[in-house]
Amino acid sequence: MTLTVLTIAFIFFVVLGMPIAFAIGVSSMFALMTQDVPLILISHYMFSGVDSFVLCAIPMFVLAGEIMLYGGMTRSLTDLSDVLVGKIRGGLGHTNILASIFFAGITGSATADTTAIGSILIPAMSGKGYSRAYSTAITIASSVIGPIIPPSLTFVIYALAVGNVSIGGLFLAGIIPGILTGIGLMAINYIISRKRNYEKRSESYSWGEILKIVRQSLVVIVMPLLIVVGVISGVYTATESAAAASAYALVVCLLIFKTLKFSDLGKIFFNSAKVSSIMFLLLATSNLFSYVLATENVPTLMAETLHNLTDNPIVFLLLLNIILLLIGCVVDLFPAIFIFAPIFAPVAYSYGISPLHFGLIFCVNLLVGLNTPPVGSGLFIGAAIGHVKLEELIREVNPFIIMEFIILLCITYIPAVTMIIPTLAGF
Amino acid sequence: MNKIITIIDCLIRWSIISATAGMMGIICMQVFCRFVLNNALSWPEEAARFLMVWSLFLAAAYALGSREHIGLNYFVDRLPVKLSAPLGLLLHLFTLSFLGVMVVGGWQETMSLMSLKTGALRISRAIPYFIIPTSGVLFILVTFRLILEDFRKWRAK
Repeated sequence: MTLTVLTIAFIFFVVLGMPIAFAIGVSSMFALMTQDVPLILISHYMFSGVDSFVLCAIPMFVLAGEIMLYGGMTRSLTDLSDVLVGKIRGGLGHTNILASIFFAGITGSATADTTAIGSILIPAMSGKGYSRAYSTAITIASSVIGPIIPPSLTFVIYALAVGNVSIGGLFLAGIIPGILTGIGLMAINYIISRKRNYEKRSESYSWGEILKIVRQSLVVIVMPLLIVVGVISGVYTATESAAAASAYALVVCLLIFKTLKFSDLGKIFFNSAKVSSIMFLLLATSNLFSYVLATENVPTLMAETLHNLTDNPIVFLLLLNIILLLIGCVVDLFPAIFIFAPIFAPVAYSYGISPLHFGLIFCVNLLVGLNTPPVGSGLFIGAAIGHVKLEELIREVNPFIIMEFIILLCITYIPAVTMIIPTLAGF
Repeated sequence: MNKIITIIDCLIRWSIISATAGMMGIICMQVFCRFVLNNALSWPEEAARFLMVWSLFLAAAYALGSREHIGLNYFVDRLPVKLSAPLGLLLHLFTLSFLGVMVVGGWQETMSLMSLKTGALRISRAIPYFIIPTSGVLFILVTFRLILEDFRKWRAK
């Protein structure tokens, strides 16, 4: 009864356009009404879900991303990418993908990545003869890469949700899958660009310009390195590293690049609080949702059902792939991790899948689900940012999504892809 | 009336800004103390946590006001305003009932936490928790404004 109410109410409210954070909250409230419990639990679980120092990573990561964007640090990364790959056919498309690798989703949110890189490259691409839909498609497809390559807020949230998984280990495990995705998407972009005869950069940069761009981007690349190296070596926690990276970016933009003025700071701090608050409220109500699921024994039920269906880890993973793609279509990334990772992780361990490997499968799967037609939320965001029709965007994004499916299957069924670097590093 | 709203708005805005900046500062200071001074402090983690909870719940009200909370607007946008406006009102009413429960429950728990002290800062545990009823009230006010906005749009059609 409780579960039926929860599911129906949730889907009803989401489809009718209620913000997902509230849809989760309201449907949990209705579910709790069917049980005989005091509703004071609602505010209690909302607060306890977010009152954690690890979660300070959210505003700090977002802050770092905002400073990079407003301080023009993102720009120097797209410039560097252009120097490196602009001369290949489909140049700006490759630049877009490579910039996603460098930018590495500091914010860890595919939305922020799409906005940051899209705002620079979608206009640039459509100015050079790419269709707007194609430019947007490549931007949202490549936004999947950012959260896979470290540093990634996504893995921090995953580690928090599941517990006893090392964030540093997840960071290392993401490197090869992230690069693989980048190469795969570039291949697709190359093939399509040849067919449609899209541009490549004809003019060369002078050595002086190249030197300037490289010097600038080195200053920027220190920032993700600061986070990754610090976290992996265990010098500081992910939250602390993100705060340090923000402080570093502030100093660079205020004093070295001089791209920011002190009067800009108010706007940046306010914006990053607002962007983080969206994820934050989602996590607060998700905790309530998890509580309802737990009272109904859903985690145990899920484990039993899956074990009754199959004892074979490969079949289990296939089922998981499908379930997660469906979840990624409806629920946003962080709440999906927060609600479902603690349910599925113990089941996966019982099939003998290692925690790091499962973390990668889980996160990449949801990320791809975000962009999967017809209802992935990444598509709606992309359509809004790129000012294109959803139908056109879906047509253009399809080849990229198929590529991402193939890579997802590689990650899932060839553990070495994810595990080789963490194993070498001793995780 | 408008003047008072502007002042309150400005006040909340600046508390969000200073809390976010403070969070960054406090966490960096903690790293500095641990590394350079070799002397980890006990209170920064707790302080950062409370600043986060306060600033982000407050900021969520602003995000609500500018309709930035993620939702699936695809289907609703395809409905005629005649239909989508009453539907929107219905959803707002559901949200309001949830927020009402959040405020009442939050207030009760805040009161019950009054005399308990936090681990490191030794302040009342009601202080961080008080954000739940506070932000709940803000959410309710913002929701009323959204309903008004929707109503004006519906009348203009």
